[in-house]
Amino acid sequence: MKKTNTYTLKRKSREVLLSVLRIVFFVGIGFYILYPIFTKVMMSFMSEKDLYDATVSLVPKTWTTENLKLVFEAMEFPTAFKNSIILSLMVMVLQLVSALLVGYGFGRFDFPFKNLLFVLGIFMLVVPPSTMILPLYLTYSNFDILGIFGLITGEKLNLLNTHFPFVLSSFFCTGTKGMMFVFMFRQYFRNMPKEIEEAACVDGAGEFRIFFQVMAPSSKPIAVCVALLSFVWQWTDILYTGWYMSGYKLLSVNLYALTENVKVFIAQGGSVVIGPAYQALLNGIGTILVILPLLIMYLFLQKGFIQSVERSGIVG
Amino acid sequence: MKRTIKNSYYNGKTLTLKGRKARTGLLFVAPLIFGFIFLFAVPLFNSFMFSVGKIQLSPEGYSFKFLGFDNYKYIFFEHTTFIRSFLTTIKDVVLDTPLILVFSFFIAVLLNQKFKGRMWVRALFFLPVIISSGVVMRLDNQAYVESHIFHSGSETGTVMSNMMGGIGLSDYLIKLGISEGLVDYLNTASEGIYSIINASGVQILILLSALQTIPESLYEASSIEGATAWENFWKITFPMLSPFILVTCVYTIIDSFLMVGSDTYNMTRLIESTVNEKLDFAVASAMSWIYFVAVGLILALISFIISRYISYTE
Repeated sequence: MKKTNTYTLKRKSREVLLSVLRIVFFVGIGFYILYPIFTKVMMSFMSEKDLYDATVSLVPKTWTTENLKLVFEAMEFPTAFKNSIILSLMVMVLQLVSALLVGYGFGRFDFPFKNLLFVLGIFMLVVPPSTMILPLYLTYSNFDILGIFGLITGEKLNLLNTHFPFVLSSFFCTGTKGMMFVFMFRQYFRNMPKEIEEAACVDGAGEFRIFFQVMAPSSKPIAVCVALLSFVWQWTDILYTGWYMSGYKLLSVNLYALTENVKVFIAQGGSVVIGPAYQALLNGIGTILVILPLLIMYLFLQKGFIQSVERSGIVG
Repeated sequence: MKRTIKNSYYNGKTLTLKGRKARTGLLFVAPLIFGFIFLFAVPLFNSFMFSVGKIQLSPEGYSFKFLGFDNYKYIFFEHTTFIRSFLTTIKDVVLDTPLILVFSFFIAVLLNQKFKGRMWVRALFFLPVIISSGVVMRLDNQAYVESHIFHSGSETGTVMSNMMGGIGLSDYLIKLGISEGLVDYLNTASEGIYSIINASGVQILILLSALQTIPESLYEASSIEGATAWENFWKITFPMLSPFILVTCVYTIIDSFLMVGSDTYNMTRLIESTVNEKLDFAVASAMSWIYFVAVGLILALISFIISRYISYTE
């Protein structure tokens, strides 16, 4: 006599219920995350009158690309894009290299004051940027280490409006969340088994060779993570870029000043009033333009990125 | 025969092996040492000096007059919005951090289970980190376009509250007979959820990686012993994650500095406006120092409390 197995039936139905709940939950949250982007993209194609039209809610009635063109030119997109790429790539590479070196040092070596130095490094993360920005600005405008430059050339260097402040801050771990990358690399290298190092040593490799040929290549997953984060944070940064390179055309800065730029652009000498709704529409378009490269990059890297972070063990 | 075992870096003439390794280590760490001294400690000290004096900027440099703690007295007793901004921001940090922690924890546990499309959902949750940072976040808080497109009528607020109004959800709920206070509360909660989701990206990642270090065998063993899922969670998952809860907590608090909140009374915005518009650097320095000290104290307090409950398993 066949008995229906109620146990598996109960279990299966519970699993199905959980899946459904899970799907609903994630769709709901996905909505929260994706909705603003979706709105902005839809708005990019709306004309100004659509904003005030009561019947228009999401899909534009009059499809127009004129606002897109307007923002594109007012933001000086090609120049700003090129500049932003150069700056962000430079910062990314420097932060990656520096975090790799310093993280390896903390992870595999023992030296006096090691713990103290690490705590000081974390302390660098804790201080709010607004506390530091003014003295840093003054430091970079009269840059002189221990009086060396003053002795040689007779006057101090003004590093503003060059790429140098960023070179310095990214390479010396003081940039945006620079120490966090050091922390990640340190955790990773701490977890590498000593056997690999010893095997390389037995094979006759010196310290630096061990580093370049064994340790660094194996940390590729973390390197991808650090590179992505560093690039993204630099791409959208306005605090440091605004202060250090005020004359320089960058995407993030241009986006922040978009309303003013558009006014100047349209007016060509006269004066123009832009309503708040239209202003927000322009900002929305600008945001999409600025984010788009990041999104594309993220789409390509995302699989490797997320898998790598988990496998790497930032933790444990 | 007495033999002293030296465990030092230097054995009188040359460096020991330990010493040589230490030297290499220091070499690797050199950028940090340089950066800390010249690009951090010195400017930090300067910023403190600014806060106790008066600054006049000139093309060649700046002139400085020592004034004692006048600036601090000013911001506490005379400045119109400082105390309010300060308290609002502190309140925000203290309230938001646990919410973000709990939410990230919950999501990380969910994402750790095996289900189809797991990769996509993880990518989805990490998306806000890419999108909402820096410039984009500031602009988002200033955007009230939806209020015009959707005619919900409110002039301020972030995307979500206006969306709720716009879809007509809040009106619909009111028509259903639900009191306006409740609908209002739901609106604010929805706004809150939005900001929490945006702030949780990195934390979810950290906690997710941490969850994956817990060996499956622990769960199997406890299931054999007859533990329920609830007990599993509180006796295995939670304690093993406790060190990382501390890390996440510290990170969340630090991250909140960079976020310019949606209120008008927000410290970061106040400091920046003091610097950019009023050009009053000394006062701005004093403000940031107070802010820094306050948050430093909160961090220290929280670390201290949480450390007592952390169970290390190594």
